[in-house]
Amino acid sequence: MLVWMTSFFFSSETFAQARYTVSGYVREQGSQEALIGVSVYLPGTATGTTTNTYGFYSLTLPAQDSLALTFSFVGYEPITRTVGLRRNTELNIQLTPGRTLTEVVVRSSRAEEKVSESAQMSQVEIPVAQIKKIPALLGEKDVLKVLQLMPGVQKGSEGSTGIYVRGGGPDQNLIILDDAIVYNANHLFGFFSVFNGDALKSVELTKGGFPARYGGRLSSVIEMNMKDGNKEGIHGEGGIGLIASRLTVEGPIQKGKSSFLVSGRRTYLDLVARPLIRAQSEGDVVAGYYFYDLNAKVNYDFGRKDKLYLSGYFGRDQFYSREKEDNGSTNAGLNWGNATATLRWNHLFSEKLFANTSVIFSNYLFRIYAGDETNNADGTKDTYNLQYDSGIRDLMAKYDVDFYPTPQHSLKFGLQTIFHRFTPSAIVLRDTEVTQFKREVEAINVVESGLYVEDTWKPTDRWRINGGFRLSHFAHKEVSYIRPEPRLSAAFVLRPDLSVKASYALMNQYVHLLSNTGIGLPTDLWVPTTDRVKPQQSQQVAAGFAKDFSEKGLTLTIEGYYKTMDNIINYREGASFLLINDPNSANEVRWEDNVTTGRGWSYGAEVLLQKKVGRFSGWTGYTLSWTQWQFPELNFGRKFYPRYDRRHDISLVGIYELTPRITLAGTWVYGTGNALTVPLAEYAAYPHQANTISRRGGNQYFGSNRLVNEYGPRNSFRAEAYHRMDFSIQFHKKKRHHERTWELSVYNLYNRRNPFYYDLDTKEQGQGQPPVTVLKRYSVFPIVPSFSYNFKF
Amino acid sequence: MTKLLRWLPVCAVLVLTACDSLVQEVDPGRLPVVDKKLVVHSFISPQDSVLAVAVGESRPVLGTNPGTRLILTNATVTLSDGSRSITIPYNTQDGAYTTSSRTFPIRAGQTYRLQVSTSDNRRVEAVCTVPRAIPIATALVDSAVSTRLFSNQREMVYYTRLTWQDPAGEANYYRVAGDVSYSIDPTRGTASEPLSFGRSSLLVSDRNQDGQTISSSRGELPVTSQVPTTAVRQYTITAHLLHTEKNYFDYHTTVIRQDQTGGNPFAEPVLISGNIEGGLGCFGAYSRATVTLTLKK
Repeated sequence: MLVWMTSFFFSSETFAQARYTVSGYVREQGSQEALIGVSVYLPGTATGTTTNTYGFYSLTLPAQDSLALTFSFVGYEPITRTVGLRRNTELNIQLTPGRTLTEVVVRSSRAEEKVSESAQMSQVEIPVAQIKKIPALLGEKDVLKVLQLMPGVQKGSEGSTGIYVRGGGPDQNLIILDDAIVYNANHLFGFFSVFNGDALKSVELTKGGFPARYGGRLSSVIEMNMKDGNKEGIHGEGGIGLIASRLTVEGPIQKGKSSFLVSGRRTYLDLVARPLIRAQSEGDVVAGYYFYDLNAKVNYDFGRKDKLYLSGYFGRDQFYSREKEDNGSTNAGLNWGNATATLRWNHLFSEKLFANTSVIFSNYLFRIYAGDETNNADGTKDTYNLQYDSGIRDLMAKYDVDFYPTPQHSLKFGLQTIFHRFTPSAIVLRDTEVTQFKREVEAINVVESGLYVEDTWKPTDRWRINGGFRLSHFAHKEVSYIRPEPRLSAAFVLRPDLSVKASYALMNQYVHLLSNTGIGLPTDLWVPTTDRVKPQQSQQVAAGFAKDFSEKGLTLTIEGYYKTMDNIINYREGASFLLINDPNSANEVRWEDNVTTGRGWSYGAEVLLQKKVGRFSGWTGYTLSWTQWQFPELNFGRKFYPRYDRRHDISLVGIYELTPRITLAGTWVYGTGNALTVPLAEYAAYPHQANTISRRGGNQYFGSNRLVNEYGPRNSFRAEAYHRMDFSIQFHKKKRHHERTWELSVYNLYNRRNPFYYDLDTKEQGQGQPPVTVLKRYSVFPIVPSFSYNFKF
Repeated sequence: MTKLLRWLPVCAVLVLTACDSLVQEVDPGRLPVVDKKLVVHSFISPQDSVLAVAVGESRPVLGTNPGTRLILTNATVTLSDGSRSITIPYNTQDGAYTTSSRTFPIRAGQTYRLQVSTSDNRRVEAVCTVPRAIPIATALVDSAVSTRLFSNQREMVYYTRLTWQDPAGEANYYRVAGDVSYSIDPTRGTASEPLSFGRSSLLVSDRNQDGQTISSSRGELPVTSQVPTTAVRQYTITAHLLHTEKNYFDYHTTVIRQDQTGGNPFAEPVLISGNIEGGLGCFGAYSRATVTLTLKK
């Protein structure tokens, strides 16, 4: 710390030589879209910085007559500009998107922001353009499913968007869209995620070595930023697929000053199925399912100093059925969805001090409803309505400052506060016969806050250090916690293009997800830390190498990690999400009664070889890992492998631009089978007969026996390995006013029967033979071909 | 578009090959192998007049499983308290190994060992310690008007609720039970039925309520369309509070839970708790406190 302080003041204050700041914004040529993470550096030196989330950079250097600065970013043509630095200088840059078909030209020794140059480790970034080329189930491109192809990240069950990072569950991922936390990122039981790639500018996943600005989850941060909207002209893109269509339109409101973006997607299976269902039921039944997403963003540029952004997301899943009967009607359904809104204000206090203030609203609601209307003979109506709700609503304020005192230091500090309102379960029953019945588990109001400071420090040309500290605070009416969270990542550059890195992070999680399926059902319930449920905590150390092969545009990272997780929560065996009280019970059932806490360990190694640009791009990932859990109330207190413990995980992703008009893409994944619990034996279990009078006849000391299953230790059965190949081919064509793409894709190309679950079944053996019990594997998706039409203007 | 049309026959072939079943039988060799195990059940109490032990065996879940015996009649069953032991014979009428507890009284605070062996040299044993009885503090009978769901019939229901003082500083486990005898018509004598506590609230622990006064759930007096409560003249309620040890509680809790979650392939399966070393089942103990109430109308 002392070294840091000394160096900090030494470098910023003691030099008598005049120093000036060059600062500005880096944007995309043609759309004015701010570019995140652009490398800004003095060619031939290690001095440099990167643009922040809003495209801003700042470098303070000794006065000089001629300063050359290079701006480079993956997928864009690099630019070098020379300025005189005799006063504070503003230098705004526009980068031109590179033509993807030309191999990236070999450039100076520091072409892009290289992985070997950054202190950050355990982080992957996927260009959104690549996501759009990778084959997807039913042609629906999905950001989260592409992240599942990265080492250290595993999917849950077949087709699911659930993300398991380094042994952590799907609830341990902080998923943020324009600063707003998204709680349930799933559509249709986890088969699709809520993120629409057309509206996104960047996607970044951090698995370890978390910078102090992030907090609140144990295992990962998935940060997504929406596009701001084109400031130069009206543009759009869209697509028509087998199950859904989407359309994005963006353009200027006031040219160069403000712009908008609107993006929507809706499935239409229900519209196709509805006439069929109606016909089959002779017009009595209307039923279906659909989901939709809507993203919107507007921004206004007040000039160099102030910028305002307003963005929002709204999505819903809806199952519905209505039935007409002779003397009335019934309707039932379930729906769930997220709504978020973010208002952000960027303010530049000086060339070195950038501040952003955000006010954020986020809401998740899940509802089951059923209603019944009966027409009585006397003309009156009896109605009956049942409604079950659960949800979480957040109001959040956030203030973040970026401070760039010298090229050696860039500081970030800030604070955030979230008012969470949890409604774990509320049931309302209305019946004209009985008075209204309402049972509501009292809404829980809690406050979660964080205060952080972090510094990216380059003490010498060889060291890169990101040191930080976060103080998290959580207040519930019965209990509060203040927990320090130290964070440290360091890289030592062994030689140009090769560095060794290490990191440590302590994370606390104050909100928890109760899920007894792990497949991302909407019934998964978010709950807070309370007097009975403690915050979850993890500590992770990671170490590894990062190597850039600049000539080939390749990066290679090899990392090992060890992570402990404390107070992780799980449903108790047999517990369920529906918090319906036993009406006979004296004590109200609290959801805390259904959960149990334990510990987890995860360790492993990950290899990633990635190529982000060029005619042939993609990556290869391999993960070797072990995850174990121990809960006093599960598996009789013995350690066990959780369902998604995966020893080996391989993913191969390749995108090849065959000709300017044809793109081929393929993926292959392999993963060790899930650890499952299946019945091994069965026996008659006798309960104790406690009612003395009832002891009559037969085996009077025991109640009637039940045939029960013996499972052996929990999750002692390994499912068959999962592997699958997907393939797609895109045909592009430029028309006069637009560009169109036909895509044909095949999911599960060689038609592998991957296990979704296992169950017992009885098979008849024919006459005179006793039936035989067999174990059956249930699969979901065989080979699924699909095609879609996409356009861009 | 023409390019796409050329692809269509390929698609058709792919779709057709995909049509074989998504449900397939799995090689049973993938399952871990388990042997047949002895299954023993016995629940002992100072307040019970009979010592009863049920002995059976488990069978592998796959295959045809002929000749599985839920009850083994030729085992040797021995109960000992450290100084004394007794061999309990098989009783055909009871379908279990039984003997009167007069010959071998069960005492609170004492630890007992149950050993079961078979002629083919399988041998299991289990240990449990009998808890003391916890007195019932109050037993109240109350009534309410209830509307039956769907039929909209209104009727009077009666129920009883027990309270007791939980001893502080230790983990305690309870079970509530009871019987109701009632008469409709004095000439037809009395009938009796169990007091119905909800299945999920039969068992109570002092988790999160240690040292407090614990209330049971409501035990409903029997109501059937044949026996409307209005017709009953007198109820005699015998309510029990069983102070059980942990094995008893865990075993019953997990058996009920496994039954409740049965058939849902997505629910985490419930492992049944047991304390039979080398086998399955439960050797549990409890002490019982009883109150009798009479409800005249």
